Amino acid sequence: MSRSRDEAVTPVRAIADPDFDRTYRELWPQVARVAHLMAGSHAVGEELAQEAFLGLLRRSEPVDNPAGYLRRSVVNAALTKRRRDLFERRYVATLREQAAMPPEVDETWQALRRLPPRQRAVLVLRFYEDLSEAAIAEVLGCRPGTVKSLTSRALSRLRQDLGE
Amino acid sequence: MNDLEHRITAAMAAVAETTNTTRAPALSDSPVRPPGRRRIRILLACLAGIAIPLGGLAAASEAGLLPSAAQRAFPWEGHPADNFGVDLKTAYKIADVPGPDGHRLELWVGKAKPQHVCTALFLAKTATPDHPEGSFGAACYGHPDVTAFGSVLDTNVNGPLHLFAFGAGRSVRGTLTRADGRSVPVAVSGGVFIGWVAATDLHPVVPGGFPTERVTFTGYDAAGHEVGAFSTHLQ
Repeated sequence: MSRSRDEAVTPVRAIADPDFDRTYRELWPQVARVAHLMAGSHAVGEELAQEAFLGLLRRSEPVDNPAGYLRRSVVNAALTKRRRDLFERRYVATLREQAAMPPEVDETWQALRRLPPRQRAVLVLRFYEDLSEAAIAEVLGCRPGTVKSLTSRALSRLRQDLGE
Repeated sequence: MNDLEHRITAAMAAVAETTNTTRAPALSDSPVRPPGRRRIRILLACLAGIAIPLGGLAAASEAGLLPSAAQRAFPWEGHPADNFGVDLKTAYKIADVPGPDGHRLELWVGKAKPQHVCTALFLAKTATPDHPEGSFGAACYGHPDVTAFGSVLDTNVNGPLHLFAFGAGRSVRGTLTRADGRSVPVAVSGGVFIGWVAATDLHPVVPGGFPTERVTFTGYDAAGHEVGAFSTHLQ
């Protein structure tokens, strides 16, 4: 008889790489938070963050700036179509998140979640990660002018959505 | 920074604070609990299980042949997570194959709004098909053709097994090539690659995370010609 999901336990292979272990412990919280904001869902964000770390682990060459690499991985993964489909699939996580938030935060968060992915990405990178337009452009692989335009459209849409 | 920007910053900070970041440091071979997203699915199933007796009896009774486990899994109209509002009356079983330990592995599909579909994958006991052993929650997406070749329908770890369902297009049979190079036949039912394999730890796994394996599905038509191949992760 199969076990129920609640009882399921999964053996995890140890990673014998102290450098990766240290990077993982240091950067996991921030990467998981950015992925959560990008995905609009904690569960999907966790998945994206895990995949980003997997990508780092699988690289044969060392990465000079692991934080930057992981940020870019999470953002790019969040912007691909397949990942967007995944966001829709993982609707379940919204339950817990919605329940935990004050009304104004919840209203703003729901409006942010309704933004197109690239618009949400620029806002996360600007207002949460506190990156400059040039740095955001580098992460997204676009021109700074595009970042400016995406930001402007995102803010305009939020103003409309939030009745400001 | 203006009021709106302050509001955005505050909302992002508050949401980021709710991120569970405590699972990272788990570096050992010892068993770990299933990842959070799966526990969330279990929570959803429990919440929905409570909601049915409280307010969803009408919806449940209208569901026709839909097994009770799939009703609980789908986010139907009135469900606590009803942003997809699956119409239970139109839900149907698209794929059904023998599963592990005498169970059957079933995939159910329900139409959802707006122009979405949701699928529910679960193990059903052969003897009592209306009382499946386990429900794995529903997955919803915006591409209504669930059988489109390569579409991701569901992939889950259930105990020692990876369960999966992917669109097979016009394939009538297929193979699954695992991370270690082994190829095994995979069932095609209702235009869907559906089945289960033992989870392995041949591949790198992030500490504290769930097992994941890069695999390749190859589909063949009735004449034995290759329909196509796609690579994906079982996780």
